[in-house]
Amino acid sequence: MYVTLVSVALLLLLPASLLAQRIGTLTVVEGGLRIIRNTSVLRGSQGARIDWGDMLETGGSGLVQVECETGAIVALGPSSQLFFFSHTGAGGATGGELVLLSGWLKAETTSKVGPYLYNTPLLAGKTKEGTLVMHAGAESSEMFVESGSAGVAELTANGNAGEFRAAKAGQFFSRQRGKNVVVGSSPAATFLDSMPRPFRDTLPSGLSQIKGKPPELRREREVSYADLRPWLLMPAKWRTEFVTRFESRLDDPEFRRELESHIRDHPEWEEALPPDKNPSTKN
Amino acid sequence: MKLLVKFNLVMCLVFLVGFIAAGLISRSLLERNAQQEIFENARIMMEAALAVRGYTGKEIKPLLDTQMKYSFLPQSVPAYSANQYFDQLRIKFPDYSYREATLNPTNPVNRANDWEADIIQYFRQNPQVTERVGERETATGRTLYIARAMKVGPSCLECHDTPDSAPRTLIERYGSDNGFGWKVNDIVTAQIVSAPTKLPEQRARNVFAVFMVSLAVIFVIVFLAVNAMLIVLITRPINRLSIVADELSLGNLNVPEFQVGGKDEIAKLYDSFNRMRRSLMEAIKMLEA
Repeated sequence: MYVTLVSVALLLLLPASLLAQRIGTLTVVEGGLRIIRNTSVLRGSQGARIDWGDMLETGGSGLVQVECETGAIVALGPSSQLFFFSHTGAGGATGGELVLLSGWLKAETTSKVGPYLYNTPLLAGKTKEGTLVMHAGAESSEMFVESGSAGVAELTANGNAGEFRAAKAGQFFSRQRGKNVVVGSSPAATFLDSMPRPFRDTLPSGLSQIKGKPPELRREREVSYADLRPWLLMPAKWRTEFVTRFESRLDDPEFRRELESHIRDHPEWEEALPPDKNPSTKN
Repeated sequence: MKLLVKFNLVMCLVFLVGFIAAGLISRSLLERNAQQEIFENARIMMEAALAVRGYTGKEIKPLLDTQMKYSFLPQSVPAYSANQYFDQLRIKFPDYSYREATLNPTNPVNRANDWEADIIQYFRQNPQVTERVGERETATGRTLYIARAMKVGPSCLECHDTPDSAPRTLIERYGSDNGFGWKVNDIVTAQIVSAPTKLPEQRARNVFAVFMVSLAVIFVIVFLAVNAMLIVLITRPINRLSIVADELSLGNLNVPEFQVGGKDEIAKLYDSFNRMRRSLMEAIKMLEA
């Protein structure tokens, strides 16, 4: 009797936990997509599901679109890296926080359950009913409010957002590293010139073309240090869970050696390394 | 004067009078028809331009709305698409020109010049009039034009109400000084199609020439046919009859009788002549006996 009750309880809990992880569906995958899920590197394909915690990396000519269960649509341009960092509520239909580490992102947010926070290393945009186009470069970040309303904030070096200020449709925000945000009434010419052409249009929903069971993503290999390195260098706030998540990879000597040699870039890993292998405890 | 000559003279006179009358009447009719055809073509072109405008407004513009937030796309403007359509049309119909002349346009290219402004003002003062046709002198000669009033619709105000409510990219392209303050149902634009008057004149001339030459050719054919028939059916039998009558009158009674075929008047005449000849010969025989 006890075993049966536990089994039923587990069965009831299982879909809920799955829903809590799931963000939405990949409805467009062009030019190659790599996904880091848990500790694996997967090859993205149309119709596959995307979970919170997934890191997406598009190819040099890539164009990827994720349609969230909240109705929000997020598109990634070429050579872009996006981290689905955290969600803000229970269940699948929830707002959340995303990190655009590099490249281009267009997000049409029509969330009825909570705002979405879109971060770049220098700027954060928050919206519940709005469309944002963001670019994260090595030394600058830009954001254009295409429609609706949003909040925009500068980010500190560790990824914490300052005070959000209201942003109206048509406003353009740019920030160079070490400088304040500059507000413009229209997108800069360089921004427009380099923006992926499809971002000029409303993102078309492709959910109706996705039928049947979501395809299994093809697993390529376990994640290497080189795969993780860009993510390990992003502001500390967004990598707090990385030690727990990737600790098992320390069993890989190559991963461990690379990690140890760059430990100063991500000191939170020091505690995960045994004292005899921890460079900071040597001598 | 011979019968044939008399007949031909009368026929030529009648034809000449008919030819001149037909020429005068047909020339005026053809010119009027050619002008009407030009106007009808112009009306069809205008309707097509309106259809293109409607298509652009209903189907193209919504697709480009998002793109318009990044850069101004004239392809979303109905007037632009109508002009583009007409530019394509002019490749095959180079004599026609199209304008959407506007009193206060956003794009200065569409600004009405003096005579166009007069037409728009006329439509504004006579709102019941929706179309006006006329002729005017231009540097390249006389020109026919057909103009229609265009009323401001609610959708026009998306770009022509105030600079604040207009798309940002439109202001960036054309500035905020022109093309604003339009009111719904106001007439600020006239759709004008022009064509040189030489176009209908040329068409009328061409058709007229073909018609008159055809008429002349028909006359020549009729003339030849009638003459041939006159010769074969009338003058030649009468000449033969005349020769036989001459011979008889000179006492030559051995002249053979006519072999008569048919039942027409000439055949009857031959018949009567043969009968008269036979009676005459019997009378002479009786006298000699």
